[in-house]
Amino acid sequence: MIQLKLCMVGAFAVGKSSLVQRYVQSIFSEKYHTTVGVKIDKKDVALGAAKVRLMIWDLAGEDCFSALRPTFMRGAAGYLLVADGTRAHTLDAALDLSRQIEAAQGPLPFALVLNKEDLLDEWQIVTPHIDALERRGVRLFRCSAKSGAGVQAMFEHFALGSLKGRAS
Amino acid sequence: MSLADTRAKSDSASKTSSEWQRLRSLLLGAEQASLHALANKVGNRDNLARSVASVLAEATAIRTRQDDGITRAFAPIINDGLQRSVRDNPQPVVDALYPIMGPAIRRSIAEALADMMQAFNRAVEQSLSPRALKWRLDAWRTGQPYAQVVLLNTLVYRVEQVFLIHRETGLLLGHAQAEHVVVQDPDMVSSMLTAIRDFVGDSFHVSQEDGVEAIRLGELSVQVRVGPKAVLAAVVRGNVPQSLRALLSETLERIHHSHAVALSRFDGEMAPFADIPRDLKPCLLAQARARARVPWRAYVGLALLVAGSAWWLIERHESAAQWRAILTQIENEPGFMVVEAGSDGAHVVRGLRDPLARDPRSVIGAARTRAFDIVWDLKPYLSMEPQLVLARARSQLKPPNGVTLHLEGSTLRAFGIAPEAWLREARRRAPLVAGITTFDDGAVEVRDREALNHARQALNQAILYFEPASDALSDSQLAKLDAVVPSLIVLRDAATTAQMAYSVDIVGRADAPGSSEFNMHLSQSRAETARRYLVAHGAPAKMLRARGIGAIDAAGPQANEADDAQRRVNFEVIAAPAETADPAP
Repeated sequence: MIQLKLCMVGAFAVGKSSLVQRYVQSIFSEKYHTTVGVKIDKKDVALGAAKVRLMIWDLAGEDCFSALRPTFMRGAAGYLLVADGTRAHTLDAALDLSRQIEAAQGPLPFALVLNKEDLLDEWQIVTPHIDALERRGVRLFRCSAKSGAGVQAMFEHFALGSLKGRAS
Repeated sequence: MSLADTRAKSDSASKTSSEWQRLRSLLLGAEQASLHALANKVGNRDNLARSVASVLAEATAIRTRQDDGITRAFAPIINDGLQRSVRDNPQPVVDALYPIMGPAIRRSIAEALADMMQAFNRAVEQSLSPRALKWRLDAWRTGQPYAQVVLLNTLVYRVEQVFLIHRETGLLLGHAQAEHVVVQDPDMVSSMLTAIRDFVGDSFHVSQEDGVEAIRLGELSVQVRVGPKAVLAAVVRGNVPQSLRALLSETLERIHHSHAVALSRFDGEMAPFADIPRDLKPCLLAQARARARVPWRAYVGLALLVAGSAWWLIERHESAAQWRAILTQIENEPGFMVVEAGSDGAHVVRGLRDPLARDPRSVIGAARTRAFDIVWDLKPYLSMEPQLVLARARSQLKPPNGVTLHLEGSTLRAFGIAPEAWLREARRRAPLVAGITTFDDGAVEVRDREALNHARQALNQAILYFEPASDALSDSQLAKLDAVVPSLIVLRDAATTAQMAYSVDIVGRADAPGSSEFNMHLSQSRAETARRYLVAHGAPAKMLRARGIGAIDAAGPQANEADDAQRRVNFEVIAAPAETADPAP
């Protein structure tokens, strides 16, 4: 079996916890976010021939009151940078977080997750912007925590990528 | 075929046939060149070293990934190298270790100091806290040494879970749990624990090494030991003993040693850590709280003590009551005067006892005599108690049968029939008896002399007559003998009361005719015949003596009696004072 530590980071209220909630069964309550600043969940998945245990560290969303704790990123196989498609500034915040993490922990594999695909009509993050990011080599997932669409695929594809990156 | 051979043959061929050479060049020119270059590379020492050096690092990396063969091969070399280096010139090694040694030593000292402080705190707490007082009370109550009570109370703990956590990722490398312990998902707990340690470290700006070492919640604590690559966390319920802290540190060190490669190359693969739970199991120590043992020995002892004391008290009370009863008995007994009685150790009765009083042992009875083993210290005295005065009078006056004595005040009264001699003596002696002033014998009938006289008279008058030369008694004579028997009995009885010894001679006689020898014999025979008859008819044999005196002297005063009258037996009463007094009580 292989264990992977994945982190979820993103601005406040972009739906990180909802995405995790969609994917795992949790034992810890949400209050850990406001106390310790992180909530940890677990998911055992079979990725191809490999049995993988994902330890998902859901970091508290950054806002004006709490800053990201880069320490929590230590040892992570990669992180998911979550943004809310309906709020453009969350993407900027996410990219800013990514820079902070790189500065603190060095380069780490990550993927950008654009949540709230169910509200595509209200999206402020426009396609050209997204295309530009993809061209820069940023891995990108779109999903909806509300409908659950793309959530499992997002986690597992990212995990598989981390697994391959680890082997190389 | 070796490359050298190939080269040699090609040289030889060039000599023999340049055509062959050319043909070869045309056909195998390229291969020949590369073979030549290869031979140059392998055969030449410098070239070979250069080509191996170019791949040495990569080859080492690949091999190290496969197994630890290189590590094993290098270990002794590195050891020897280090030793030689230190021997030759230790300074570079010192310089290299300096940055590590400093913090290591400081940390070690800090841990030792922390342990010492903890021990000191515990000592203070144990000697001053209410709990310590309770333990002292327990120690006093159960009779155990105080130190043992403290141990029983402090070393009660149980290691419920042990986590081995990868330090960097917070991923769980191994987990062991005690039986019947309900646990949350160890993987998530492991990560969360790491997060909390990170959180505390971040919040209070402490380094990972100095981070959280223990989390305590009531009686539950999480003991954390941090190693370079992994963290050991033990969930302990109860008081954490010092030995456990040491064991956790040792276990973590051992795992670091045994899994050094796997830990340093950890990328999430769990296979190398499959045996970690086995390594963690020894940490699942527990010391069961000694059950509050019922001090039944103490209870039994106490019960016995109480029972013994009760028995002793009852016995003592009983004994005291009996002792009082004995004293009361003695004091109530006439002729005793208890002056002092003690029961300390020995039972002693001091006092006075009239010699005529009963034996004190018979007063209190045989059972109590046996039970108490009393020392009697009694001096004689004369009791004026009526019973004793009366007893004294009886003892001194010796009243004969038929006389009873009574005391009224200080007057001794006698009743019954008494011989005069006794009466006379009693009158004289009675007032001399202590406690008696007057002797009243008005109710005593003096009868002894009369009866005696009558009996003597009857005996003296009784004469038996015989036929000539015969000692047989006729019926009429036998009737006389029958009448004599009561007189003899009276005489015997009177002898007792009169304190005189009476004997009766039965005197036989013969008449003048016949030889004196014959007559003597006949007279004796006549006396004995009478005696035999009397004894056979109830006369007391002792007082009877048969005596024949033959014929009456012709010149004597009875010589003129008729022969008939001379053939006779008569009785002579002989009185003498009694030799042995036999007083009746």
